[in-house]
Amino acid sequence: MMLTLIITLSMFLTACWDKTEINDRAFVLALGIDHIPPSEQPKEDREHKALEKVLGEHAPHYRMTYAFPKQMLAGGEPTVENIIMSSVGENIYINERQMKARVDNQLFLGHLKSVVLGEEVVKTPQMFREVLDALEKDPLISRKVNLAIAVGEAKEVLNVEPKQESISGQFITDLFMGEDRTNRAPVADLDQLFISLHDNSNAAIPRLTGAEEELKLGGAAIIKNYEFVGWIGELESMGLMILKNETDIFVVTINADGINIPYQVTEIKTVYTIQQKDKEIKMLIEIEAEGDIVQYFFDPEEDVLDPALLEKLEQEVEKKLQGIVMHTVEKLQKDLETDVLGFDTYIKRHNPDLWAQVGKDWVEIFPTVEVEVVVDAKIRRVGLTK
Amino acid sequence: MNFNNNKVSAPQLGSIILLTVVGTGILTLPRALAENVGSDGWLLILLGTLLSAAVVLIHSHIVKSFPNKGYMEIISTCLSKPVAYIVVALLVVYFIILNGFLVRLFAEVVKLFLLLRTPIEIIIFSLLLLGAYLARQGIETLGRLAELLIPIVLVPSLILFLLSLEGGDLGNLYPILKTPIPNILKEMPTILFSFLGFDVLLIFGLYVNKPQKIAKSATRAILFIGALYLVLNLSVIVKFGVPQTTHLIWPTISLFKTIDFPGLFIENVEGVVMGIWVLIVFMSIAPILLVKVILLQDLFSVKDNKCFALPLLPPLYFVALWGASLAESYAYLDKFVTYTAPIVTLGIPGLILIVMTFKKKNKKEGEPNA
Repeated sequence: MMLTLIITLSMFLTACWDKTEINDRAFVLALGIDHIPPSEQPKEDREHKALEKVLGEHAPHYRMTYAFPKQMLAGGEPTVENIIMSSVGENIYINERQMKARVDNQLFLGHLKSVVLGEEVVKTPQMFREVLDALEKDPLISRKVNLAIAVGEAKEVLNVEPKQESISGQFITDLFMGEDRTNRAPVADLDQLFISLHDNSNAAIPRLTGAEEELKLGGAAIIKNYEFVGWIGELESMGLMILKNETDIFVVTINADGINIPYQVTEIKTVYTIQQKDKEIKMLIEIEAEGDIVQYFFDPEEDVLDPALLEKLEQEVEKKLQGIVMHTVEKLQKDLETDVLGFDTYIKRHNPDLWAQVGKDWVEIFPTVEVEVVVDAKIRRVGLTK
Repeated sequence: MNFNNNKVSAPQLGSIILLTVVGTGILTLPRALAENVGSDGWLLILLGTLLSAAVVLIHSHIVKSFPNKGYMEIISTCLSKPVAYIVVALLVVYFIILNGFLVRLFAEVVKLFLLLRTPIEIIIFSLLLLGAYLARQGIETLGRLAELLIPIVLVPSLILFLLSLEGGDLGNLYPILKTPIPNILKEMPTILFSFLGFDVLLIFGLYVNKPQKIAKSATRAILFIGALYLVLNLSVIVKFGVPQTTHLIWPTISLFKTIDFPGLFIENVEGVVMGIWVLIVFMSIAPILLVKVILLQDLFSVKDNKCFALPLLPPLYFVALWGASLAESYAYLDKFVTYTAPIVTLGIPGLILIVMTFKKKNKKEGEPNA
């Protein structure tokens, strides 16, 4: 009995349906998704008209661009090539299958680092939601994947070969990473975006701009109800990040008596408080900042360690920060009318009774909410000289 | 029967209970709670833990009061022999169905994450064969294995929980205590089902070498499970918030997908998580298989129970493949558990307890006269 059991077990253990050698895999680092309007679709796709009658109309409007490194053995010295391939199909998975006919290795998304969506994708809510769900459902794709919206087409952005790093997928990932990552675009990995979109179907997604040999991450696309409503610039993104407590080290320039002084924020904290009078909702935003004066003026007439001067400079910093934040709030409230500031989340959590009243009409109420920004800035250090 | 090979210590029984219970509820509990009571899930877990601990105390009291008697004998002493036959036969069916669903759930997750092209039948069958092998080895092996696996399972899980907290938002726990009380009461079954499996205590109690210690070990196991569920639920809510959690089929696995620790030598920790989870589920399936083997042995009053392990596999296999899809399996399981679990965990032991107290009373009243 024991023997038969062992024999049967070992028989099952030998079966390997899912065996894949690691060098047979193509590790896709970046994925670009574009929407192709029907008029621009290649002619040969229209040839399948007869088939479409049977299968139903599925315009192949997805263009997927895969970027993966491949090791080449040319003349003994192994080199890593940056391979970028595109395919057009009805959805993400059809494309993946189609690609398999053109790639000798198995495309593997388990180590995917970043996804770039073309501008047109977020302008088509239906497609945007399809893409989001495909990304969320897939068991292989990590929730730590970064998402960015390309100005123009994702394919163009991925095709840029940056001077500094020839593997474009890796380069895009590096832009998102690191201690000193830009604070001019909101932090957004899939995890945070899914949470934000599940919560109120709004989100701010970083903007990726491609030039000839350069890529830049800055600014953000504002999504309202799964639809793109507009871009915000780099400074406004910074304001947004201040409001959402997502940034710590950044620099603002203040001007005092004709001198441009960079103020490096080392710590910043934002707290919302709600003040309610009858039906009027007022949001009080208190920001506490700490930082250093990293440059003042050579041989200054005034002493930088003089408390009176520091107080004056602190006031300038407060004015500046208040201006940036207020501008961001106004842009989001009046121009884009989209709550990505987390006002709704705040009310839901801290004042559920009020939310029960205003929750239904929040989209209309949000632009009318009165906002007051109070900044308290401290200068802690002034560098080596006085 | 070799007597030496058939005893477990009370802590070993506690380990068995811990692993058996955790395997059933751990994947879906945060979602079920988030769907129905929002951010107040922790309160339900606390209530559920206390309630389960109370039930476990009843169970261990029953086992303790009948030293050297199996569950079948206990029932026949209290509720007459024919009733015992029927109850035990039904119990076997109950455990087969419960176990079958668990096997299916396990196979679905493994197929989705690990073995995309392997037929689900093979996954199920190899797991069942291994379970049967363990069941044939008897309870002592099971107890030792459980004791051995607990640190292997718990230490990495706790580390992973800590890592997953990075980037969470404690504000997600608000609003606190805003769920109406009727909703909380309505959700009590969900939380109790996630403690399902501690009823193995009734059957395994016979094999514990120091029965008076059962109550302590078993309640300790339940409290530990409660703490584990609490940590799990809090980490999921802190990380995802309520709206996102309700959209995740297995929030626990998704939680580990968010781990991104700079400098960690592996990029995706899913492999580790799945490894731990396979151990937990296996240790949840194997004890229930052994329970059935023991019950069948009692039912047919034979000396050797090894012959029952393999014949149990075909019915289990069919139950596992009963639901056409994952959704259907979950729906069946929900319905099944709602109606049967209260009877098995509360009804029968409750009856036994009532009969016991009556008999005791009679005895006390009878003694002075005699």
